[in-house]
Amino acid sequence: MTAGAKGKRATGLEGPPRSAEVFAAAIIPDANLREVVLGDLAEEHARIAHASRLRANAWYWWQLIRSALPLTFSAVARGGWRAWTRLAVAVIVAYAALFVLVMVSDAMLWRFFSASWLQGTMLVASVLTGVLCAVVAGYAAACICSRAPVAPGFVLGLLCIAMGVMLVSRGGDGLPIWYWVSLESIVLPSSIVGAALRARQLIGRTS
Amino acid sequence: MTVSVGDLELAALLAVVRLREHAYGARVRRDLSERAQRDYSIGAIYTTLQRLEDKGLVASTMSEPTAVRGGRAKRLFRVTGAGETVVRRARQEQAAFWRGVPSRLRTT
Repeated sequence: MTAGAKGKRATGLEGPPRSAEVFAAAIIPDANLREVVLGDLAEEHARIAHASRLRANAWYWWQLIRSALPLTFSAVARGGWRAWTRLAVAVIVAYAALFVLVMVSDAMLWRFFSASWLQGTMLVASVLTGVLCAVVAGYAAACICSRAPVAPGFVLGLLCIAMGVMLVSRGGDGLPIWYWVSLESIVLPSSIVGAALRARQLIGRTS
Repeated sequence: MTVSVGDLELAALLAVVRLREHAYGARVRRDLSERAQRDYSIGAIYTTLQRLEDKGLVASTMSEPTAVRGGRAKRLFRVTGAGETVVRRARQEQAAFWRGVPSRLRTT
């Protein structure tokens, strides 16, 4: 049981949203800093929750979203050029892996949905397998850059969006715009989810 | 050797001086947010405090865990000798910059 859970049980206080705490844990790789930041956020949450629990939960989520980038990348910045190199390698390897995975899965889908009236279904299936591939790639990136596991997932997602925008501006390979929009909108959260899964594993090992 | 600090770093350093034994992330964030009338994120405050610690301007210790924090400890910050030197120097620099500015521009 974590220190936080023990404290809540001891006092009967209803703390911050559990899902937000899980997200917070994933974006702060350093165990000491994580406990301190989560403690500070819990304290402020309790203060605001006296007036409105809904407002306190919204405040908590808003703080986390705004803190995600500085907290994630400060761990890389503190690691110096080695950490930046590792981050770059993680993103390049994960992007290559994602490219191969998407190519293989699309080739397999093409065999199943070769009839012309199934083209729409094939594209939907392609978006769904794209989500899975991005999760796997985000996870792989986080394995390489364990100092700040969520950082490469974030950069990978942005890189995929940039490449997608470039492809669309060049005609989008003849594929419909809805396909690209759906792919672009899910690739960043998917790669972050993959990286966060790895972060959770790492936290489980250290705590 | 002189240590340079940015605007937010100096503001956080001054908050640590003001808050004395109560200087920890949440209190520093609240203090700065109230004074600057803008909502700083806890992430921005901690990365700033960590930079100050890396520069040797503040030092930190852990407190006992408390129930209101979900059983977690606070990281209490205090200003070091080097930090006090930076605060004094910043004050002198500010005073030097303001010298010669008409009084009508000095009023808030």
